[in-house]
Amino acid sequence: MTASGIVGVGETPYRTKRPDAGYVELVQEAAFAALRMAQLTPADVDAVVFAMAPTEFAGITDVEKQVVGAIGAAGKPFMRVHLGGATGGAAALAGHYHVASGMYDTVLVVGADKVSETRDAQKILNLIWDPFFERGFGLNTITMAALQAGRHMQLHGTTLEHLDQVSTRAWRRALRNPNAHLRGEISLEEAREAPTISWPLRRYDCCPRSTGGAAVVLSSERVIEDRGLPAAWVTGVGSSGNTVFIGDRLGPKTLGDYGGWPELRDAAERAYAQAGITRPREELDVVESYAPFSINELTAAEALGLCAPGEAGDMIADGAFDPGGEVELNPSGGTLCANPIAITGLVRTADAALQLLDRAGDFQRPGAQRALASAVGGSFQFQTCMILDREKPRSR
Amino acid sequence: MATTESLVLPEDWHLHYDYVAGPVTTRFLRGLEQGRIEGTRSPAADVVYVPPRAYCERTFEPLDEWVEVGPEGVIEGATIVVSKFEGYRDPPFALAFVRLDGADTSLVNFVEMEIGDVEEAMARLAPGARVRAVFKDEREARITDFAYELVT
Repeated sequence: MTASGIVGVGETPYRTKRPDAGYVELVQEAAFAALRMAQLTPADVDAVVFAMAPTEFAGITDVEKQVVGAIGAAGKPFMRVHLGGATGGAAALAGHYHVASGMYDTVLVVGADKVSETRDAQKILNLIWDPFFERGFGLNTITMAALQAGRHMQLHGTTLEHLDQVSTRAWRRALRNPNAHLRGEISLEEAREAPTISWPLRRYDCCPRSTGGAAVVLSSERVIEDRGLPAAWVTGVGSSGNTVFIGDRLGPKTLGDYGGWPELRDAAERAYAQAGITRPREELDVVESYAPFSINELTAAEALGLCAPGEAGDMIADGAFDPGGEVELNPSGGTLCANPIAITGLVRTADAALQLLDRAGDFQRPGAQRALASAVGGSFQFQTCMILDREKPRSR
Repeated sequence: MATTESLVLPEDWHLHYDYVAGPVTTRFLRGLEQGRIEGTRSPAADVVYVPPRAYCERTFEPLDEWVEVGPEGVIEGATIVVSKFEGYRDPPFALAFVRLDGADTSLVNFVEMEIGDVEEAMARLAPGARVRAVFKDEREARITDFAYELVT
């Protein structure tokens, strides 16, 4: 294995619509921005990994084929990665595997999504369920998260105010991130009184439908050192899947309780072992977790070992993971403030890398040394995790 | 971002599917038509799966032992949908994952109940609450042939 690192990051603003850009143009915007940051050109790219989840949102089936010529991928290895919400995280892992294997020196991981191109996004998110057993009940990503939230509340005494603390703080942090889709000062009262969507989740507990593009460029140790590029080195990766059936993740014979994210715990343990991390709260400076619903910031913090199960609600309310805390959780505002689904996992990776490249602007944690990015997909059944470090990993 | 607004092209998709259920799901749905909820049992893992599986997800052995479960069971997770979504039932409505008596996994369905105050209704749907699967008179071999009702 060779060491790999992120040398370039490109992101577009995330908005409901981008009336000035077609799908391919969003991909170009992100890809070329990432290459510019890396001081590389399309000719330097040896392979492309394309992040795209269900294409029904953008409305062009298998839309990846449209971008090949537009980003300089013609004549090069090109593959699309799809893992539901975890797509962007899985694509980043695939980009790392490309480089770490020694097969390619520089890999572009890029994607875009237009979740608002259709008014029927929740209908599409209902179609992910089995038609015989589950689809008819209004299951979608919101009800899926609502079921988890209710169970977390029952198991750990989590309250609506805990959830409101998550959303109001996320919107406030997002004020520092010009790419964030939603941002602002919301009072706890506004959050509490917002219309309920699926109990206990109310408006501010839920992410928006976003449009945008993102890219990262990964290069090998050889290229990074030959060219003297600043890099966010990949020191650990992990991922884990579980059965699609939520009903199998409940009860005494559970395959991992649905009131938490045991799949993320598994993914993180693998990544921590590689990175030599034993005390994540002390050793990580920044965590960008894929938390599309307020409850997920709790389940992520707990699964990642930033605190014990059931502790995250109080700790978030106390500001423990706010800017300046021992570890900052979603300093960008996170997925609650922008969710271009296919690339959200890549945005987490990109925003984590920016911290180590000193490119995070107003949401920079000064001197951040080590960061983690995670992504979740399917029926909360897929989790990915990547650990980035300013220092090159020890050879192994 | 540029200031020129792009042209917008509207289009609707209408797609028809005929989903093939396969033998295991077909047997389950035919059971519902008869007013019966059945799962498949894995003797090696000592797990009764509902929905039924052709293979145990723990031992990967084929499953051919069918057992009837329910009609009562316990709520493991629930929510009440309050906002209207296109194509779904009019809100508010409750749905729950219920571990039916004799089953080791939970099956989702509507909980038919009066919903006034949502928080009060949710308290009645807390994990551990008991429900009963109640079948409709007119059945069509679909999962909606029954719904849960709270056991009082």
